[in-house]
Amino acid sequence: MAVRVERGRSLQVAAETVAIVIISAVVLLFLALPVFAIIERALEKTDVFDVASSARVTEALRLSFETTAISLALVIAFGTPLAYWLARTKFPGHEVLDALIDLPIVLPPAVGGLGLLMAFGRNGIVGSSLHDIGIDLAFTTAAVVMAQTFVASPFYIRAAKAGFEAIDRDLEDVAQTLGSSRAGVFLRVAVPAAMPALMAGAVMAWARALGEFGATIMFAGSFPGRTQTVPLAVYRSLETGVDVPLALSAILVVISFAVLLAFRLLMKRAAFTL
Amino acid sequence: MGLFVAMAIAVSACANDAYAPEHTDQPGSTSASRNLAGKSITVFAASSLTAAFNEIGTKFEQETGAGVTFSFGGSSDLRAQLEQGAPADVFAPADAKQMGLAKDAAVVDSDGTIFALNRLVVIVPRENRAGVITLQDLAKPDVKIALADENVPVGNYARQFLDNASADPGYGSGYKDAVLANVVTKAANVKEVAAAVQLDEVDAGVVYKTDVTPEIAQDVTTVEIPDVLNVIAIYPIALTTNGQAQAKDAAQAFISFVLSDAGQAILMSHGFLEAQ
Repeated sequence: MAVRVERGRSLQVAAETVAIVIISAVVLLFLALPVFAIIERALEKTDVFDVASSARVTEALRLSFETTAISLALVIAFGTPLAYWLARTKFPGHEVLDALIDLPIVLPPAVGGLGLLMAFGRNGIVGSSLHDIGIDLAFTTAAVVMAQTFVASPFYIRAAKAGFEAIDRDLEDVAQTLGSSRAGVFLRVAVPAAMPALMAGAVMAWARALGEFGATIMFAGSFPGRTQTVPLAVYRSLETGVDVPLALSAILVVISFAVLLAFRLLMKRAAFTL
Repeated sequence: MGLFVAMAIAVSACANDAYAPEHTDQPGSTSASRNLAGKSITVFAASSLTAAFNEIGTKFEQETGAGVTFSFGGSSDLRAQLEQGAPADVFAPADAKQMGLAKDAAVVDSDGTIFALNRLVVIVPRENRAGVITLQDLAKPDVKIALADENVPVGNYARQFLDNASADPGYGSGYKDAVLANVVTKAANVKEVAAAVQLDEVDAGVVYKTDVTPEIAQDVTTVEIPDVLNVIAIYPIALTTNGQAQAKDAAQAFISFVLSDAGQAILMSHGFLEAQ
């Protein structure tokens, strides 16, 4: 009797294992196949390296990396103090502020782009005054950075806020009683303690900025070398054949995967040294 | 038995009503169109055809009982989608080049029939803060211009117009380069160009005459391009090769309707020129 129950249990365990392996395999295949297909089809083209070094591809890549670097720097410079303040100050209605910050995550990017146009376009609420003093933002590289910063900042601010909330407040209190200023506590205690969360948020924000399409095409337009980032170039170049979009996509896949993987390995090491 | 016969007559009477809602002497509503009811076709058409084809589609549906769904976009985008296997029964791009490329890729069965012509105009926001009054003004420094991408038919036609102007001593050989240096965005289709001008986010754009719809006309001023410099846009229409086999008769009927007097009258009312 007892033996039969044991056997029944082990059969059930085996069945569960098989089920979980099959389900996992389906999900992994579904996620990996399109990525694999891009690499495979790109390598299939004999002239993949010629295409990859063509002006159209290098121009888009250069623009994407320059603009996302600036966007990420802006997100970190302005988002870190904001996240710290939100984590440390509780006031009535802070949920409203939190929801506002998260809004770009759920809004269709095209809505964000239209909003940017209505705010910073030359007829916009702020943009019309800027136009009067000779500054036009729409259809410039600055507009690309603004679109990326708009859609990417919530990813960083959320992660940073959670990171600051998780810090032991005693550390900050001790530093303050030892004579540190509030800025000193923020820079020398809070930021180093929350670093893994800040890094995680920065990687997510950068990835979101790199993939940004809808807000960019609405607010910045599409002009090679000036506002046509990799996602826009992939879309626009499909009409002239699949070579250029494939090469661009393959390069983007490889770089993005390398960044995410390196980040994970770094985090793992950081976790051991903590 | 008597009841059964009465019911059968009633049903067939209903069916006749549904299949032939009205009798007119248009070619689209010949007896052949009776069996089109219930069929549904998809038409890929150039952005500039949006208003005219929507009206033609409504009329066609009323006359035949068949359904029409449109996908409007830049002709080059639509052609690329067809090549990737997008389901469509009819293709109507805004130039012979895109139809030729579609034929080379075997996604349409012919070079098609030319059913309409169009011409270019320059539009300027009503506010006109850059002071664009003449075509020469497009070459002034700091004028922001929206053009369609060179692969989009209207972008290609616009560059042909710039070539024509550059060959004209009145504009000078540097005209094209000066205008192109002012381009701030290369749009995916002509409606994007019109919208940028309508929103007054750019100082000028090159569009088709037919894009200056009554709605757009409220917000823009038109600068005409003289005939000697203008480019005539050609609209061909053809059956696709990957369309639904069972709806081929409906797709053919749609093309016939576009070419019929009724279809042509709608196109003319939207400002298209008759294809001779």
